[in-house]
Amino acid sequence: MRRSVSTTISLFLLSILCALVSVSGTWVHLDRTEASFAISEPYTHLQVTSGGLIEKDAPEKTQKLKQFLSQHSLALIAISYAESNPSIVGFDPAHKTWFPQLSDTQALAITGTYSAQVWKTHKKNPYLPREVSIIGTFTLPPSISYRSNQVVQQLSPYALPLGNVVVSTTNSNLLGELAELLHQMHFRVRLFKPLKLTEAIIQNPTFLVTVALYVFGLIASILVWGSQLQTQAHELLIHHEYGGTPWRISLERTRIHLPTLLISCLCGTCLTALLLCTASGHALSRIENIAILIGAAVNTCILTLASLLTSYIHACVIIKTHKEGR
Amino acid sequence: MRTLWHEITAGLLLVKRNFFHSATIFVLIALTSTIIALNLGDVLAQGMNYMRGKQLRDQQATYFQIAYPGVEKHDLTAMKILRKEIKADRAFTYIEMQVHPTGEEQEFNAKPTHIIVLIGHRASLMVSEVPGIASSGKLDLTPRAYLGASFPHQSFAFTVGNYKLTATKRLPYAAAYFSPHGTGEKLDNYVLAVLPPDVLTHIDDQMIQVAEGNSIFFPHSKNTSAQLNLYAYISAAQKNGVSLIPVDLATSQPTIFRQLLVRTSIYIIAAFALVFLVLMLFWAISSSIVRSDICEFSIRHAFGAPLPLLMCRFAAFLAITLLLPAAIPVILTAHINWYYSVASSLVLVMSVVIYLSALLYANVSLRKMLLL
Repeated sequence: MRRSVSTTISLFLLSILCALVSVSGTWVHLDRTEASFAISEPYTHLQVTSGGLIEKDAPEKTQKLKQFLSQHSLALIAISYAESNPSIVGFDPAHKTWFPQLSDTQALAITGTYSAQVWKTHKKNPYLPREVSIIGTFTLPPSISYRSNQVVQQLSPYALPLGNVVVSTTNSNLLGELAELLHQMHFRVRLFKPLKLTEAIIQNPTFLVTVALYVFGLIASILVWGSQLQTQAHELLIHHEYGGTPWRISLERTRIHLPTLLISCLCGTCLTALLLCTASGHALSRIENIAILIGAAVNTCILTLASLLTSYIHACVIIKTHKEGR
Repeated sequence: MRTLWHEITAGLLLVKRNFFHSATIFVLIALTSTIIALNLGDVLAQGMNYMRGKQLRDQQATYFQIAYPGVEKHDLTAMKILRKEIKADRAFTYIEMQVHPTGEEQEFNAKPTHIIVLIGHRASLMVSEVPGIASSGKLDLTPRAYLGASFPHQSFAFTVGNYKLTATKRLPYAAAYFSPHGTGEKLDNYVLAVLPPDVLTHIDDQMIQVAEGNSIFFPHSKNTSAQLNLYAYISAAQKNGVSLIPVDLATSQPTIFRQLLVRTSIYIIAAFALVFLVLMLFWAISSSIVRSDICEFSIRHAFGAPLPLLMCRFAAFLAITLLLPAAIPVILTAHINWYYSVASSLVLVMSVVIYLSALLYANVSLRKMLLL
């Protein structure tokens, strides 16, 4: 009885760890969509810093840049933080992304910001030049909505592509031409490769730590199960005497433990979801729910396999030692 | 004494005999206690900060995030509005300064002195346990300065704008400040100054920019012009080359705190789950040790060895595999800050409790096996 209790508890704790791995895994996914500014096309990340654009050149040079983007149907989105106006600047002639279609003198206030409040009171937006006016509000995709940006503007002489820029291409010739155009605008450009899945995983410490804890937990559980099997050596030997091979013994044991395993996994997963809801103060998102369900399924498979292998190895060892002893 | 030493060395031999299991437990305990200590330290620091921000949240304070669009003009409209609002008690500001030691005091490793200057009656909301706060909650604006409770010198003289101040009085130990820009801590090593709003007309452009960026408004006060003045202030600052983006503290701080809670709860739940798994491993090993050594124990007990002496073997084994790794975070976090030290000490206390309960468990099972 006590043995099955400790097995149940260890399975339950491992399911908690697995659910946490799943939730932190969704953060890796979020990091990637955030890095791509929520565009689904293959993209390149550039960092553009101001070198001081000569104002007389501005309309002409930005027009040239827009022509280049239209010609190759590229989308460009720039989000700056602290280095320029709090606006998201973009240009998407081919309607490939979420970015809205606007004219040079139009802008949209981002929902929930101070600019949206000001727009409701029919006052002039304080962050925009006199020529540009707000024509409505706009809700950003959730993965980039936490930033402090206030307005969405189309690429124009009033809104230059500064800060972190994402362009919907990976073609190095096109990127070279784009960088040249930006250089002509007296900007400094640095190219970054898109965030790969492995890089996103490495950069996410929570995911790595939870995976490490799960693996360590699994090792500790396997050791616990092993020492329990050692105490049940007599039962195993009797089973063996009556014709049970190590493989059949381990299959039989796993079959008996399967209902416990399923119930423990279910309880552990539900409890973790409940705890996370309590900590965050709101229900889990759809993607987190899906991740937890997939995680629970994978966890059940891993644990079944681990318990099968542990039983098999220990059965082999116990039978071998017994034979040698004789 | 010799028998006691014998038992302790026998405990060490137990570690050697069960090396794989002991090493696993050691590594796992060290890892989990470090994770718990670091995250608990984070939560403690942020939780204290969250509590310090309560007064400002209750008053629906608005602070600013800053961006620099580039065009700089020396326009003083924003500063004038700020001064007017401070005088009308609808805003306050603070300046953080660092004064580097000069002359004879200058040493290679000399640390700069951190000074916080409070400007405005309502600046009382961002500090606690500071003298000169009236029962109405207003801060007395007589120009003055205080030394933090652990400040290394007996007095400190400095200049802000047209005010020459010398701090000699000490702040109480509990004095602390909260800044909505993400920081806040005890004022032990700071110098704190209080000045009236007219100092703003005598400070340099860089300091004005700091004062404007750090300003905190109360736009939800009963006066209807408060919102209009905030708008005028932001517009004026924009003309001056600084984008001030207002953030409502009452909505932003709880959101940030919640995010931290979710992140740390993931770490802490995971670490606790692992601690339980490790303890189960512990029990499994302890019972296998008792089983294998029971003959020796019975013989020694029959020849007069008392039970507490036999327990020393377990005590030594447990101390190496449980207490030693739990002490690692205490050493690691000793130099980071106070919160981490408190958190890692808590973890150590927790492991001492686990240690004692494990000893008790071993004692009971040994008694049962020796049929006492």
